[in-house]
Amino acid sequence: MKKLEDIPKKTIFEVPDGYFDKLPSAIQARVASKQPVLSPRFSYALRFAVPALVLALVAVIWFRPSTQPKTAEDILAGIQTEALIDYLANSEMRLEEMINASDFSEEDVAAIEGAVYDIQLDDEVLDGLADDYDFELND
Amino acid sequence: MEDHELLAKIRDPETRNYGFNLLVRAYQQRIYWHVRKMVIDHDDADDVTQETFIKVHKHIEGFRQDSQLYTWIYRIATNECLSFLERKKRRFFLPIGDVAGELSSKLDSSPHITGDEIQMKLQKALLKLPDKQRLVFNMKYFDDMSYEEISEITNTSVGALKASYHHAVKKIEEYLSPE
Repeated sequence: MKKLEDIPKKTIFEVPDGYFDKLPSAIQARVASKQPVLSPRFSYALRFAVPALVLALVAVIWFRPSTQPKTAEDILAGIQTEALIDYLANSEMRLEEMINASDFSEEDVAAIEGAVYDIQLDDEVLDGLADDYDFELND
Repeated sequence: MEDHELLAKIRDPETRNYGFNLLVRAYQQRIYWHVRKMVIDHDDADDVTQETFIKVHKHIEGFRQDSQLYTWIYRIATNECLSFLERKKRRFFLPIGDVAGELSSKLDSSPHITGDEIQMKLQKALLKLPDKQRLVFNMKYFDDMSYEEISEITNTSVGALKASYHHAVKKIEEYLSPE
């Protein structure tokens, strides 16, 4: 039987001329092509800039001043008187419907009644009105 | 240059490329020939060797120095060889016998292989062995590595390696013996 120890230890493999001179640069070129596109300094800044931006946006949204809803008076104050009169005149709603649709508070009712019943009419004015309308008071 | 000096140069961003170049030049031949004996063809060996050093570059920051640098690089090269051969088998849907046959035909046809008859016959005998057994044989017989070094690279016990090597020698001698 042929013994392994009787066989001279030789390599049968060869390489192209200059192969090992070129191999390091070939490897470096492949390593460089696998590097990330962003420079280390830029990626470092980005790593902190993005979270900071997100936090700033959250703070702006969280702490922004809330806008209180306007009251009816605020809304009406912003509308021209002529526009209001035109609207009321052209509205097909009857007075009773308007009143029923309105949500008057106790203060609103008191203020309206006060405005109505605070009309100061003396007897002379009342007599004049009675003559105009041809009816007698206290019948 | 000592391993720790090489590592220091590689880990310093200012000298990383220079240090890595030195590392490649220091180990390229040993790694190439280890790979070449496994994959036979020069172009395949070139690919696998380059992939090995690319992986070294990628993972060298995590190298814990609990083994020698050469052992660590050798281990990466060994894994790359075995992965390459495994992919070769899967790609062509061939059982191991046919891959061995393909590698054997490369011995006959490759322009970068020359040797006398007995040397060629020895290489063809080696291709009859399972890849891992062939690997162990190459490291012991051609590279003169100790069983302890091979154990560290392959993560196999010294006893198992001794048994594997002696079994490989027996199979080769039977193949080489005239009928």
